[in-house]
Amino acid sequence: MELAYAMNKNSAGTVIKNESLGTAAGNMTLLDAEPGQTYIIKEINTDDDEMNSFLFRLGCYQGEPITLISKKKKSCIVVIKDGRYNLDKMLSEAIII
Amino acid sequence: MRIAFAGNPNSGKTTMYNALTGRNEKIGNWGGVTVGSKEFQLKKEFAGDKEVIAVDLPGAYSMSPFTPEEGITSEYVRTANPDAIVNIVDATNLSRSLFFTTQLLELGIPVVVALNKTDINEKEGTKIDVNKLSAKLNCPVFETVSTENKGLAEMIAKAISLAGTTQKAPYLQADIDLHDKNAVDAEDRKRYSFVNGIVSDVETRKTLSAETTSADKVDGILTNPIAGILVFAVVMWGVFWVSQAWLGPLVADWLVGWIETFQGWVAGQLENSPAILSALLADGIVGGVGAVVGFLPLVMVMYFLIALLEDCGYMARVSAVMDPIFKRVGLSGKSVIPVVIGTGCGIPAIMACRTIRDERERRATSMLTTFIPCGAKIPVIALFAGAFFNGAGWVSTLSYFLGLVLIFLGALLIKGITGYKYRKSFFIMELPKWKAPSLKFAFKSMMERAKAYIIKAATIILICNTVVQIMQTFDWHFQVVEEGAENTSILASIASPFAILLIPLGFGVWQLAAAAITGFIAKENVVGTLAVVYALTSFIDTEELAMTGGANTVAATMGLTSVTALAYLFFNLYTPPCFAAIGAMNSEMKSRGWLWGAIGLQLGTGYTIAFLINQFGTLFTEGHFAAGFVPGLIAEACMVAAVVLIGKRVRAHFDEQYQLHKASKAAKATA
Amino acid sequence: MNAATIIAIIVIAAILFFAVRYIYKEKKKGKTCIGCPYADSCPRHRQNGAACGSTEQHNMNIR
Repeated sequence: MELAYAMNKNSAGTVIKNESLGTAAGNMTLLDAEPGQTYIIKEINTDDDEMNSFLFRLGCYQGEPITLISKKKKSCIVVIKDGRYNLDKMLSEAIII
Repeated sequence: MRIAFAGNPNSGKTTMYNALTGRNEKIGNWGGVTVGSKEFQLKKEFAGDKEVIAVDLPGAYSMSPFTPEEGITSEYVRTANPDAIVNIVDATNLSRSLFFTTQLLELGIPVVVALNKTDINEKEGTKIDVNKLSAKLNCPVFETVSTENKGLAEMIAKAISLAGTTQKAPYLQADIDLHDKNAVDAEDRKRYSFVNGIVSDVETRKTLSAETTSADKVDGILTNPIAGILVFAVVMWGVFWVSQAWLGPLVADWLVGWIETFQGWVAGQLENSPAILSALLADGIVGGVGAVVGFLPLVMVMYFLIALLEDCGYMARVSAVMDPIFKRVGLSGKSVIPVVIGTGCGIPAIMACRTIRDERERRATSMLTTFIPCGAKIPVIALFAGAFFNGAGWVSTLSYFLGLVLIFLGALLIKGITGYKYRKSFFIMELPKWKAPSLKFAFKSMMERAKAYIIKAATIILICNTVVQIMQTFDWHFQVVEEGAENTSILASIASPFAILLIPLGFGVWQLAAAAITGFIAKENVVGTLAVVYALTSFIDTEELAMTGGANTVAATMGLTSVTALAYLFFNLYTPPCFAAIGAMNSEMKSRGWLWGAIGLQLGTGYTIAFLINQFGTLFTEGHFAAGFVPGLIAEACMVAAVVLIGKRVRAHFDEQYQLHKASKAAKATA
Repeated sequence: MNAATIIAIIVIAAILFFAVRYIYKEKKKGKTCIGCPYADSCPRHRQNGAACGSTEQHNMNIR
């Protein structure tokens, strides 16, 4: 885990938001996040094991950084690892940061 | 010897495969273009004297599949025992790709890593230490750019030389109970941290991937629900305008001139021969096929532009922007892909529905996707646009977007009939990096399709035209039909009963009915048959039509006004597609009920659209309803009744399924 | 019956013969939609169809 975290700073480079705020911010989903900020994923909650493991293989799992690039009412664009993805509302809400 | 190509989606496997084998498989800048495995011999320059077969596999993120295409890949590398694996790694996303790489390395089959897209890395200032990576992974690593053939020869030579050896894995999964979810999870995490360790050692980035770039601003607009759809509309209008109102017709006019000259020459040579022969050869074969081939430039230009769109990365953005709308009508966000593919041909579009998880959504999508006008419908659209609307580009754009609207309406109808069950539906789409589309690739793809189009015209369409010509020339006693008594021909007597049904739609003549019927074999046949039955070829030559009185002349020949022409065009576009597509639907839906439902829905939709356009168009232009308003209304009422009835039955069935066993038994007893 | 007629008959016969033969050959190869621009990459006509066709592909349940 430490290794993964050290990596985050390396590859993402930006200040990790929720980490600096500590737990005070509480749990929020991607849709509550601010564009341009990098967050650490706290939990993935899709109620769907296959979806969870699919996201895992993209590098989207607990403890990994995720950057919100832009968001709309019903979708958002994020950076996971070095790839950009469009997520719909349902999925954005399932990712707790 | 077999060499398998495996890697993440959109890492460039098929591009590399095409470069190494000289094939021309479909590629595109989004994940999931390849949905099945393909194999072909390597080119001599790469394979030497050995016989080496390259196997292209669908993209996968890991060995445990999430979608069926991923399953094909993991099953192949596991069970088919290839002699070597070329693992194509997207160098711009090393951290994700290596997860799969480490899994491949565990199989024992020699692996060669092709670090693809290194040109993009160079541009972005990302450096990867190849030697270090090679040492860490315990396998050879080559930097490649498959779009430019760079590094491919060395890479494949190494793969060939390694065949038969055993790969030593740099990372081995611990012996765990694979059914224990937590253990597997923990193991996967360990693997990821191993990968992360490698990446931080070998990769130095200048541009951080999390930074917002100007491309992100573009994406922000393109995925905006309003602006994104507007841009999509403008782009599609542009594609149709260039291919069907500007560049396409320019070339087509020239081509049609030659075809007409040739037809005239053939007719001239046969002056002293029996009239049937001249009709068969000059009008049926040359004229009918010529009318279809005359539209080839339009189709080619369109395919060229679509290939450019597919290559630059825009399609992924279209799916993203359309997803919320599709969800609202009860389809999956994934339904967008078939709809996009459907612009080319309906059959692969129907096949592409396989990636949809929910059965109802999958069936609904495969039943609706053919409302999008495919390549074969282009000649029909162009014919009517050219002859009745002065070659206007808006006709095809309108056809396309009306098709989209019909998909939404149809989806709502299906949702209503089947009783929508709420289900969590997730949508995730990778937005690939933008790239300048390759003109060479677009040209190749265009030529490939042009070849297929000509083959189709010279086989199926030619035979259909000949049969139509013969049926038109003879009556049931095999006597040549006299001039003025055309209504006694075989064709007329078969098509007339259908024509009666079409009276409320404004085109109840047997010629048009016959053309619509032959359209079920292949949509281009509509054009071919019209050319044969009306002995017309200069459909797209708008100048010539203008000289002879423009739309009025054609209207007089075909008995159509602008309103009825539009009705006829839409009737042909939205009725069931060709038989091949219906067959594809059958094999995808695996249900008689759904198949007949699909055919019924499409027939009903085509009929309704044509009915509305004809009746209200006539009301608008002439101040009164067109002929057959009441019978048409009755037909519509019957359709509505049928829909309601089916809906009731399906829902009753649905309730039955979900009720307790007892209740269904009781219902049966009373029945 | 003049020369043009005879040539025309031969030409028609030849064209039809080759067209029918081509369709027949393609059908035998398993390509049911002649001239489909996607015929080569159409999953329906894969030779090694077992890998992607007949198995429970529609079922997303993973083995």
